[in-house]
Amino acid sequence: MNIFFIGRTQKDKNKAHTWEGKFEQIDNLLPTPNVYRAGDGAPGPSYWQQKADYVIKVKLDDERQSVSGTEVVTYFNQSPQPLSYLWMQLDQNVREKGSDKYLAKNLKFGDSVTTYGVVFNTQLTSTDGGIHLTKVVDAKGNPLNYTIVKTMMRIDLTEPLEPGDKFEFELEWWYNLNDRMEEHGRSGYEYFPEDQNYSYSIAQFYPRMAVYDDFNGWQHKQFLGSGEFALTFGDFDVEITVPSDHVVTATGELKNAKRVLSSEHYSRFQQSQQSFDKPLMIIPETEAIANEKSRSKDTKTWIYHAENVRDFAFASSRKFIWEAQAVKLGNKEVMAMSFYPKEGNPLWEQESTKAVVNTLKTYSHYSVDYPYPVANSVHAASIGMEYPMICFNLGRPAPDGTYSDAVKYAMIGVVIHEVGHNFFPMIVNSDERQWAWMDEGINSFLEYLTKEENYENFPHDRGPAYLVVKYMKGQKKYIRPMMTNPEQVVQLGYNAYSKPAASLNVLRDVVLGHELFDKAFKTYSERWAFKHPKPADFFRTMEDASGIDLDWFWRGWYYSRDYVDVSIDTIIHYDILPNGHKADYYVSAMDSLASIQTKKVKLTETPDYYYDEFRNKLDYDEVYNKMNQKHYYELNFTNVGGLVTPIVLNMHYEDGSTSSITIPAEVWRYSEVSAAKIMAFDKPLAYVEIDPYRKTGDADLSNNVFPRKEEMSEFDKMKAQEE
Amino acid sequence: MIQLIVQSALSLLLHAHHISVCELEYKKDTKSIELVQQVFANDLELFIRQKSGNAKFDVRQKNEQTLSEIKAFFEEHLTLFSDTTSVNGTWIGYKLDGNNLLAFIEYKNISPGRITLENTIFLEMLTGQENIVHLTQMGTTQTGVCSSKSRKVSFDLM
Repeated sequence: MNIFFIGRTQKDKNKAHTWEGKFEQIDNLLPTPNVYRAGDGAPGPSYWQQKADYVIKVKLDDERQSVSGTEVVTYFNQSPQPLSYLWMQLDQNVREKGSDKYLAKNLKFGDSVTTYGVVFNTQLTSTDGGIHLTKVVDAKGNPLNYTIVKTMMRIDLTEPLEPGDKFEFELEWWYNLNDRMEEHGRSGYEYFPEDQNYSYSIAQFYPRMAVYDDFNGWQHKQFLGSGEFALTFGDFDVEITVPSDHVVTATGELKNAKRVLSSEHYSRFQQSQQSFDKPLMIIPETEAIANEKSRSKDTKTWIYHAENVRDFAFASSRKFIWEAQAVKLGNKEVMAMSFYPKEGNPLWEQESTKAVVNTLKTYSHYSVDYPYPVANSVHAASIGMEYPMICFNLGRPAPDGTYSDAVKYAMIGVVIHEVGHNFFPMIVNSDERQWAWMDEGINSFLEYLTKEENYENFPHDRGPAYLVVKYMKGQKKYIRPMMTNPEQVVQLGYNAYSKPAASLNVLRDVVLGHELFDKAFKTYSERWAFKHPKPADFFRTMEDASGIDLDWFWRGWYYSRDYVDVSIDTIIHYDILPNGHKADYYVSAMDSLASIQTKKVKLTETPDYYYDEFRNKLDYDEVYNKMNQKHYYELNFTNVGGLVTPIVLNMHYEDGSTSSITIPAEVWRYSEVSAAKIMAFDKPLAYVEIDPYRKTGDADLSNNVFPRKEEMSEFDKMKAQEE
Repeated sequence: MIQLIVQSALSLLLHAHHISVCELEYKKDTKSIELVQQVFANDLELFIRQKSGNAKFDVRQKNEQTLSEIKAFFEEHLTLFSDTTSVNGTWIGYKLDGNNLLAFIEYKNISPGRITLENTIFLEMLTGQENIVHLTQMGTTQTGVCSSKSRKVSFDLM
């Protein structure tokens, strides 16, 4: 037809049958919008969610390492349906002998197996785990029928709980705590033999209401260990009774500080609320060390109140050093606090509270202002685990107090990550049991931004797209799509953390740009703060607020196992000839990777019949003269990895100057495997480079430059360096 | 103590990355295999600290001892077989890229036929550890995984 016709190459024809609908809309994969969840991704006009308030009295037994307690639950049925039973989560039952967590493991011993491998995987433990319920009664004290189904419990109501009604009931329970150093776990205790003290990080310690929503009904998928939690918002009043020489921190505001703290500690606690520039020591190390020697038989009860939280956790120990700093966020003042044993120093006094402050500020900027009064970072060896307003974080120096950069950055990273979970999923309350990427992935993305914006040269191991290419490339048999439940993904860390974080960086850096992305992401956060979003709500909101159809992006990054690898195969320079010249239809070295070939193309008059009903005609000389002021090139690309992606191009001109352009992903919409572009430049090209800043996650850099450059491989560079 | 290593270095809940990536590239013209093994630097540091008893071992301090410990780690945990015969590799070096540590080893005199890589990195610590192995030859990449279930992966060189 004309020179702008994109002809198909033989290679293209061979691959034409591989059309996989990469640009088809994903409407058929998403739930139909309704009055509860709108088509724009926002909560619908009839959106509802349940509420559960708790009054808990819990006692920590420091002699037997167990907890016992009572809880009064007031469950508000705000759904439009009557409920004949309620479901609760008994997560401690994952530690029962013979729990499905272990029965469902798919394991083999290799040539050898470690003691840890045996204990952790075959439940060869000394702890008699699992929760013991001693009372389940209604508000009048009448026993309720209940059925325990592994890690879940169904309470049968004598009468249906009608919409708008509430139901109050009481439970009494106890369980043995697990030694985290032996059995691992998100909560439990660590024993310090040198001073014979325990440090407790207590969570999943009470029967918790399962989520009942418009999407799943009851979310009572069994807890097998990887898929975390789905929880209902509510208010908590919690009394925690511990040995009187213990220091406690928890979800919520301490309501009886004056009663449980010494006058000096209380005075410092008050002062810390005005310390905006640096942390103030409420319990310094010297006092914490002195307290380690105490062995009080008395108890104290610490009282906490928390509003609109989905869970409650606490930590308790004689060993805690306590520091606090006030942070101004929006119109609120928040206390950033750290609790750690002396074994965490000097690293913890240098970095923990600083990381909490950095996290609160950065996450508030990108999502919603931190709404809670406190954010606690508690040192617990070897884990990072999150709860509302409190998290348990690793990072321990050597016994002499020295630590390497690796230890320091791991500690900072985990504090940022776990404090960051306050936003996702504690505030933007996604269903962790079903979709790990919605909290871990989104959180890992913001964790990366926090590190980038607050720390110089932070050694990342996830976040940027280039850090996932080695996992994404190659054969796909060991990969699952991100839209896979966390219990059956092959690699949870890659699938739920690294890949979603990378995908969001690609979306921000390459597809939408920072302004559009940040607006859309903040819109999602604001729409779904204190609500229960699903994947479709995220996908739809990001499109709705950015104005960009991203179905191809979700389909590729979230639903497929494809990876990014675009090859620039050839560049052809067009030498435009005027009428009367015979065009040289160029046949030589079409596939040469070594140089830009030139093809002569004759510019012809447009025949009259092309103009159809139009009267005006293009002026041949004018067009020819304009074209002659430009340099025309045909750039040919192959989508090797299969994941359709924008193509970020850097043009390097013969005079040494450069320019860049991003070709939108839609360039692949007619052919998912090959694309060709005619591009006009002011200057002659020397070479073209794809993804020069490694922002798209391109897996193979060797096909990213044309003409191909004889560049040393990573291996050869190392070899040359070491020789 | 291995137990401590597991709990300190490879927390399930920290980054849940019980994974490493090993890239093999077969150079038919030189009959050599170039191996690049990537692990998390902080995990490796903690492993070596615990195993060597040197609580101050630091992967970022480039000196003879660091090199020696790192080299020994990879030599112990990576073994290449050509058919059934183990092949001695030549240690090239290592580098850090963020929190990733990349180790480079070259194997020479590898003829077409079956090769097997035994990759036991961190397998003694967690049965959930998986070591992805990519083999690239003639522009095509094949993938296998070494884990506690199967510590070896085999490929056919063309």
